[in-house]
Amino acid sequence: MMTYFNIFLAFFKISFISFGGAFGALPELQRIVVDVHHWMSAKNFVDAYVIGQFVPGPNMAMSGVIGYMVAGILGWFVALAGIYSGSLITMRIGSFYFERHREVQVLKRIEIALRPLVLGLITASAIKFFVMQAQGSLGLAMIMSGLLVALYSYKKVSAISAIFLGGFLWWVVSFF
Amino acid sequence: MIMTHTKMDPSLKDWLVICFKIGALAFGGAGRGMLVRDAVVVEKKWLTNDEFHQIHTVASVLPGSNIANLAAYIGYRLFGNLGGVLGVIALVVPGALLALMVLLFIPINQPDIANIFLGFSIASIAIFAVFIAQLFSGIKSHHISGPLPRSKYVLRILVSLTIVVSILLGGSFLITLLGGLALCLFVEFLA
Repeated sequence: MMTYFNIFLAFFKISFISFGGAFGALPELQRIVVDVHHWMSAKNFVDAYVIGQFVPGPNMAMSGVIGYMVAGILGWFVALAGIYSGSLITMRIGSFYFERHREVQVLKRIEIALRPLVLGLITASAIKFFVMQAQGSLGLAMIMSGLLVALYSYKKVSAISAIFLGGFLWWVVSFF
Repeated sequence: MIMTHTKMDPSLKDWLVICFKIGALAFGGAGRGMLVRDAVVVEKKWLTNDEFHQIHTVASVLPGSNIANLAAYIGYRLFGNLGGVLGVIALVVPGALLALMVLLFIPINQPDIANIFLGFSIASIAIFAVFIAQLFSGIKSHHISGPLPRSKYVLRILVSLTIVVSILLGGSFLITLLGGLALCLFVEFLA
């Protein structure tokens, strides 16, 4: 029972500290799940992240995967309930306040002011996860990424095709 | 641009279908907010463009998954508590179920499959880098018309860099977050 509660709480907390989307709070989620609670190894955490990236919809689908790895189907449920009930509560209060005050200008200014924070958190997460996943083959990973970004930006290859191509290329590369 | 301001009566069923579709079909990071906009503003005309952008601002400034925040707010606004809660569930469940299926039925530890998945994931960060580049150009924005003073731009870049370095060196996330919040507000309102 305590485990379920702790899973819920871990994800509930993450929801309130993820500014600019949950991606920026991933290092903290990893710390809580791997280092504080010892629920899983760093490798399992990366597996959960990879699966979460692979499916459609909000990328915090990985919460459910982590919950399941720790405590089965009920763990899946409480992890998702934790992270998304945070959103529902925050937005209930936020919308309640904003529908009454409509301080659009102030809010817009704060949103712009916080952009460096969001940029910093997300960049740090991206670097951290990129390096963790590339493991020994950082150079190869960078070359492949450069190629995919070029295809995506200049040849208008869709994001999902670029991601599938990445899977194929990395598989081919693994033979060498 | 011609803007029609006739708003249509929202239907809860249609709203849940929209959320479910985005949850089940929208792959790959950024830009999903715009799918919501297309559905709610352009197609259904439940909200005006301005209303949507105000809601989008609230959803991105408050903590939490951006797309879930957006769905929660639009749901609350159009249909009350039920619209928010059910909307988020419809958005989240398809991907969460699919992720569970992948975990249960695909042997992700088999070396070939592990490499393919790793490739997917590395590629998704690569594509994400394009989004990060857009965020970077976003920090040039000024809240009033006219260009942002150069000194403020430099300060903002320094704040971002400080946060990146702090996280990568393993500094406490909470302290980095609170410090970053304080620095951002300081740069905007006092510097």
